[in-house]
Amino acid sequence: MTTAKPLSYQQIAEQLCDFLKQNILTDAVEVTPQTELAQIGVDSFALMELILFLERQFDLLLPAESLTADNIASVDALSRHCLSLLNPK
Amino acid sequence: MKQAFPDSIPLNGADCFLLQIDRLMWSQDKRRNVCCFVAHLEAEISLQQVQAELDEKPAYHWLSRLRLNHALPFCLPHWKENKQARPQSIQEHKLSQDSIPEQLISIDINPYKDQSFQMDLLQTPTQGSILVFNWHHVLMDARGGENLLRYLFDSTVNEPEHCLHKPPSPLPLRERAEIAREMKEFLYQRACLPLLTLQTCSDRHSVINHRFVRFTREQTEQIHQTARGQGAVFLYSAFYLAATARAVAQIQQQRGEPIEDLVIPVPLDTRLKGDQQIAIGNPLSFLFYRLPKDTVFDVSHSTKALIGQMQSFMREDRPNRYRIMLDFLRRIPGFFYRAMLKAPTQGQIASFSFSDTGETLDDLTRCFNTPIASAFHYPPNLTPPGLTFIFSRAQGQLQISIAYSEAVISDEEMTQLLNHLQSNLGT
Repeated sequence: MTTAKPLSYQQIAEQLCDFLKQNILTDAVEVTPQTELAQIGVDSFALMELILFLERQFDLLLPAESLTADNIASVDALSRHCLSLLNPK
Repeated sequence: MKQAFPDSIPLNGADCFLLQIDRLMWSQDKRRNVCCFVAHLEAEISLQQVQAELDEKPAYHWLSRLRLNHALPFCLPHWKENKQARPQSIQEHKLSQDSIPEQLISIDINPYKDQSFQMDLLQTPTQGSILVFNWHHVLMDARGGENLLRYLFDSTVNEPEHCLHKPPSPLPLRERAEIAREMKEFLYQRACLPLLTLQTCSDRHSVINHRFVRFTREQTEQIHQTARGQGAVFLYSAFYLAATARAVAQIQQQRGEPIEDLVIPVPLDTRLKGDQQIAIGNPLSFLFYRLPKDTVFDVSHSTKALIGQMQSFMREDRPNRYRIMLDFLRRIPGFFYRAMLKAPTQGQIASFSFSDTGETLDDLTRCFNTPIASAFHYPPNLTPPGLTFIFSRAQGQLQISIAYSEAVISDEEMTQLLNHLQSNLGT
């Protein structure tokens, strides 16, 4: 019997950056996991798109109360938050 | 190489929708669908300086030559370059007081005949210069207007590589027709009567007034803290809308009129983020909210209901499908289009107009190397419904500008509405 390998931080961050590049940002905008999303013009609607993408992609529910300013500040923060929900200690 | 300044540009679906709104406004109220943006500069700039700067900009000359063409039924309306047209000169006005004369922020532009934008330079007695920029809504949206000003007056902004928004990839005709049919059904069901409206009579040529509120940074933070407490998470816009809807319903209640559901279409900027190029047209879709009457007096419930509707619209890809429908309707003859717009609400269109332009004004801080002290949009005088709210944030400060028709709400009631709104926002 095999079990699914848990997702890594790296995989989540990469998929989030790809989604941003392909759907939200112009080609001219660089994004890394550390980039502050507000600095590159990601507004609340775009952030909601990002969150719905996460829910679809990883079959995950992000509770509203957990979406604090710190948890949604960057791809890095969002990925860590997802990871903590996917792999609770 | 692609031509930067084409001599003919077809209108997109949102442009055509805004053109039909313009026609409705003209027939009902003899007003045009014109946007207005005002920037107060900290120091005085001269007319010669403005004119010299504009003369250097090829896109400015090209834009000033564009006129809207009357389209035959079933043909696409389009902008056409009139090679003989010359730019309209900028008017300078010496003010005796610091407020802006109403006639400069409520102008009419006929895009078929006139240059589709107008600039005025105002010299105040004590507070530097004011730049007033009016443009026809079919030419571009609020964000487009900001991008154009940045290009015209900021020497660090490069010449545009293109002046058109990238159109969405076309789907097969049958698929588009099916989406258009399904969206029309959705909208008719969404906008069904009865809906709450403050309009009590259909006075033609009624006076349009404006109000403007600007909060301090501390008040803005307090409002956002209240928003989070009411369940808005990071979607402050939903909280602003819920607070506004409650304030409107409170006025209706004071009048002793029945409270009904509120229908509020909210424009959605579909530009890719980071796109600051000037471009013709309105890359917009709309989110059609319907706020049930039993939640409207509870801002927390309303905020959550709006966020729930927004999530469901996004999951169902409605903003994109609405755009497809608007594009599909472009060839419909005008009279038929306008009849369709008015049909579900019997001409009321919406409870009020609302938009949140976000933090885009943060990118507009200087003009001619002079700091901009404040900048804001005056709402287009959309009649019906004759009551428009624009929320924006600049340098951490929330600001609200409101346009209202006297046929919809009196000055006294508007003062009360603003008191309700500020209280609903938690200040």
